[in-house]
Amino acid sequence: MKIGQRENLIRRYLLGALSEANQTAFEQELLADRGKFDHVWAVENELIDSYVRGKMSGADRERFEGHYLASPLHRERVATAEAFLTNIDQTVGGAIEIGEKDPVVPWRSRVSDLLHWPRPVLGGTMVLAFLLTVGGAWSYLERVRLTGQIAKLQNETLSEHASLKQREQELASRNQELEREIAVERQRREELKAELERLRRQPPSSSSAVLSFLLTPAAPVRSEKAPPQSMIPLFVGKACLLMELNGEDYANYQVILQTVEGREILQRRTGKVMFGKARAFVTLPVKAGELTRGDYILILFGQTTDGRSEEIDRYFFRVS
Amino acid sequence: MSGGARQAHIDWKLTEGAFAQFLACLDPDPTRAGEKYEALREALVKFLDWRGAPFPEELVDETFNRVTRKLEEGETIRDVPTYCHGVARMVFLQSLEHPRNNRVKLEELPPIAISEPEPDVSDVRLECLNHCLHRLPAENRELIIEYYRKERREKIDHRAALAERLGIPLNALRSRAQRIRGKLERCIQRCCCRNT
Repeated sequence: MKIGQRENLIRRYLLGALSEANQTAFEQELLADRGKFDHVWAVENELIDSYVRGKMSGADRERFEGHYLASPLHRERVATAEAFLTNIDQTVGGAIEIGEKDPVVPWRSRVSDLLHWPRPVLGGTMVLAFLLTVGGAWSYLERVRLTGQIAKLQNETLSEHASLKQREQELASRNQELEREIAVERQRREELKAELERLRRQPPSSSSAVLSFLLTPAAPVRSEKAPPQSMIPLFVGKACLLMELNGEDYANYQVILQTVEGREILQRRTGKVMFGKARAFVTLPVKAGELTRGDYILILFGQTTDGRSEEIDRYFFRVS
Repeated sequence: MSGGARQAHIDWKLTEGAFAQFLACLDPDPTRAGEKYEALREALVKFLDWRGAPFPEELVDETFNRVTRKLEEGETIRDVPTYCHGVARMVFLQSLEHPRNNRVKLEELPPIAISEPEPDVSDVRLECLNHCLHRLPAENRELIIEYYRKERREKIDHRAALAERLGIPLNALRSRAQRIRGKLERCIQRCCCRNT
């Protein structure tokens, strides 16, 4: 469709000259194409402007007044355009000056002529003056109220902003603190891990643990019923053999350790240790390797103050 | 339609869920659906406006209500914008039956004997125009004033120069100017209602 035809179609649509079917089809076309829709809207504004400026041809003006201006909404639009264009047309240099120039009201004058409405000028002027006064006062009060509201909102916004900023700083500070704590914990964990690893790799200490074994004296001399033979597991490291004293009290003690075959393993002087007030023990420390698997006899001697040795007890035990 | 069904339709209220369903039919993406809804609404309002409806926005709201209700009832609508357009036409035609919406040509208006002086709203409108123009962002105010300044051939050249200066195509300039003008009109209407 040529530009002229298209423009003509739009004008006919806006001036209500299309049939219902064509109108519907035309609107569907506009619905599908935003550019075309905008174009029709632009033509509508052109029509209004042309009418307001008195540039419309007679036939178009008749149609415009007969159809377009039948809508109160359109009349309002034309009046607005008139006010706007009048000011623009009267403005020199782009500054809008309202109220200082005589309004040019061509279309409304025509409408007024049509309706033959009486217009008592003086009364109208007074009403207008009253409206302007009331409107001005209302506008001033409204502006004061709005300014107050804006100031209040700005203050609230600033206060909220400051509060948020402070909260943000607190959170940042707390974050840093937590990060430091996490770093310390992480370091400690690493140290513990390293320590654990070191301990895992280190061979078991031979001197750290001392096992004590209480030996039971042999029975034949003092009792008819033999007590069970003491059993000592083959140990690694150091051990301590304990012999309990039953009331005997000597200045010194001596032990002789030998195999059941009579081979002497060791002979040592030793002391007495007290466990509480009532119990006393003679101790014999032995090192790993001094005792191998087998049966042993330990003979305990007490040395009197005059230098004599007396056998106190014999102990049989098995290392297995 | 039976009496019961008609009553059910009258009692029907637009719910958030039903409206969300309507939007989803326009586009699965909520943002794009919102944009399409706004564009569709604007187009339908203008169509009814151009047809002379005195309250086109109310009619379009009623249109959307009807279509949303259909969707909620389970009706499948393939092309929602076209369907809405059809419903809008129907709603408009029905509205003409209402006495409030009858179009009256200017020539057909009966002469009115006015005993009281008629308040001249033109000055109020000028005040409102001034007020609304100054409420526009400075950039938009300058654009619309520049856009409508010249006439005829001079106007075409002037607009082309303006588009070039703003670095936008002429169509985009036209579209922008129209939207500003639409805003201005609505602002002036509201202002005049308050002040007369």
